[in-house]
Amino acid sequence: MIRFSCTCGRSLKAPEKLAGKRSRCPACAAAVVVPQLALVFAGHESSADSPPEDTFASPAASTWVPCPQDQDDPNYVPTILRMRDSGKRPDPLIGVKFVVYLSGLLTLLTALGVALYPHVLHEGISWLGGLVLAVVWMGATGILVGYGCNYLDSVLEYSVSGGDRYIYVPNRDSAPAIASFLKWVFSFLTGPAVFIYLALRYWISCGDVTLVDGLILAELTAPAIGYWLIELLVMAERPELALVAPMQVLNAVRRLGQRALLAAIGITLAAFAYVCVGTYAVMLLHSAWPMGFVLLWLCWYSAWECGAFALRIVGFWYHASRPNCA
Amino acid sequence: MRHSRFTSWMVGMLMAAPFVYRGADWLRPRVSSVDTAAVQAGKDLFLHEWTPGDPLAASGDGLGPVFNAKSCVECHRQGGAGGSGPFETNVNVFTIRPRGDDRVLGARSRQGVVHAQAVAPEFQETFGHVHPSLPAISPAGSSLSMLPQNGVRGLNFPAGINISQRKTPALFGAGLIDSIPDRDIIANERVQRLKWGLASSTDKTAPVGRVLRMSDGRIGRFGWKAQTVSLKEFVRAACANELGLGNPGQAQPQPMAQPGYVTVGFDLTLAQCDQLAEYINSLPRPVERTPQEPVDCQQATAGKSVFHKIGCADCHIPDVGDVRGLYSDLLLHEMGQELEGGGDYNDRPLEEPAFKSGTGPLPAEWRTPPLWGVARSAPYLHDGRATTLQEAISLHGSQGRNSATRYASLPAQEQQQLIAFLRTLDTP
Repeated sequence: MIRFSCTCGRSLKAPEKLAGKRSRCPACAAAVVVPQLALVFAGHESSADSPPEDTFASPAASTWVPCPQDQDDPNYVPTILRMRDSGKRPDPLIGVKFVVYLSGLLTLLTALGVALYPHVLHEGISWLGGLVLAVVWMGATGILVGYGCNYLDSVLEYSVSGGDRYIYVPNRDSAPAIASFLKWVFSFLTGPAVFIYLALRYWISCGDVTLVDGLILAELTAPAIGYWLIELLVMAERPELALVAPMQVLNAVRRLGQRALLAAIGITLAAFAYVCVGTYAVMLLHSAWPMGFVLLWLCWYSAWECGAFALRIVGFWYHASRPNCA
Repeated sequence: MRHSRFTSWMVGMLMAAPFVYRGADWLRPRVSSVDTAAVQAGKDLFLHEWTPGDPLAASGDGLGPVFNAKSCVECHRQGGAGGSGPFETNVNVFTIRPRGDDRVLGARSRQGVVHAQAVAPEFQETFGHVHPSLPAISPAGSSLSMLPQNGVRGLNFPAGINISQRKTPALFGAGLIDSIPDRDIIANERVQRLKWGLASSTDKTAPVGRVLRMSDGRIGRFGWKAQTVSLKEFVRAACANELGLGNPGQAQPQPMAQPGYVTVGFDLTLAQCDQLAEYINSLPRPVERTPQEPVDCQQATAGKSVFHKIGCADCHIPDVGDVRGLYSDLLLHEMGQELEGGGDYNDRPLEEPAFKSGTGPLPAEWRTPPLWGVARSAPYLHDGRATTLQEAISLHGSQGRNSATRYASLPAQEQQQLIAFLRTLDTP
């Protein structure tokens, strides 16, 4: 194992066979190169007193073959180095504990919001008090959702790189979670936000949803969610991108072909189902809170796991559709 | 390439079709032309004092046999023809839900109106006809005993029986209410639900209302319980229930004193009912009358802010769809046990499915009454139990309790400002 430090001060380690490979520091997201063993011995090896280390590992050296095109691309950074080694064998349940805790905490926060929100409205709280409460609640929720986004990011990045055995489970460090949250929010705002808003406005105004209204809602939401998904795919393959241009999304859609349509429809349907169940669970929180709490927790848990499953499939499709590497 | 372009065009047109269809539907003009002849004919019918065997009721028995008034304008008169009615014109509504022994004896659930008058003494209805344990007195002249005084009613009801009163509603602007698309009322329900964290309409604290759906899926908007879908249906029901003028839309009520009374034909034709509806449709809408004096004007303006600040506008929404200044969401709201009041006014057995299964209005549920014209609609609330606007506000319970509490905690000046604002909501 090679032990070395990032420029931000974080101690890192990676298997010796990854010497010379490039990746990103999970703490500061800066590009790092795993040094040759000799260099580490020359002065970068961590001591027993050093701060906690993040583990880098080759996910499956035998199955990961860098694409020649990737190696030629000066911007390409193989992101699979961020994955944590789950052990000697593939362990599909490695993320379960993390998702269980995450879902539980999110359910608690949701229930707290549902319980407090009407009181805040009723009491006619001052704008400053409302702002402080909103910032605290949304900040806490945002960070928690960020951990989930970080988890899904790693699933996506790993699958678009062709890995199939390892996943990265976020540790307690909140910086990557916040970075992931901001990335997802930013990509949402630059992509589907307007269409999702229009769909919500339309649903409020359309009365009873008929077939025509259903088609309109589907046409507003499916492309929006599809666009967001493709944005995330492109960013997973090119982590250095802060903003995905519409042309890059279009190119990615062409690359995926009909699978882009399938993914957009599938994930939209799943999202619709989760919105329905989640809404019902929140309504239950008002009338029969224990039942609502359990249902909401199951909903959160299932959403993260299904999201990971779906993103992994789409990531593999994206990986398989690479030009010259198919 | 050519094939691909054609396919793209086809897909594009197919995707655009729902938007075009819905856009055309929403932008379709809804204002119909006014038939002045029908309006005049309707006005004549509205002002006409009906008699038994009335010549205008060609094929029926005319007024009665049981009725609450002899003409429409006898009740709808405050602020001019078409206005609300004073306390004396309240109507008594009963609901019977048999319990225990009554059910064993085969008694049926039913509801209806205890009519104040009859064309002959043998038809006169009394509370005793509703249930033998109630006194055999006619509603006329005894209406005060139906209202709770300090929480206690003058008349105790047996278990399973409820008698409550309904105040005559104003008809000004009813045509505009009739023109509001269902989707705008549903939108109110959805917005309230989203605003209050997805609380349901059964929630006792959050002001989340619900639309009342008929068994055929249509949405109610008229009547204290939102039990009537359209102005035309409202007119037909009122003619039958209040005047005893049976029509193809609703049969006249059988007198409870003589259940065997044989009805001969209809008193009104559908055309006559539509003329009445056309006249009501032509009535001007209430107005927001700005006071002349600058000080009063300032007070009313401040009162409007208070109205929003303490949450009155959560249910009394100023604008619904294209209709401005309505101050109602046209939804049913749970208003608390103290304001409970019987059934939905339909004179029929409760078993008849008028509403979607399990969705009928509950005793404590009331449609948010439009506040336009409230300045000339005293007394207030569904049965006129509140003699002042302040009292009406303080009697809001359950979903309206929070606003009432906040009103009570306001400084006296702000309370006066709110009342000053409500007094600007005047009849035309």
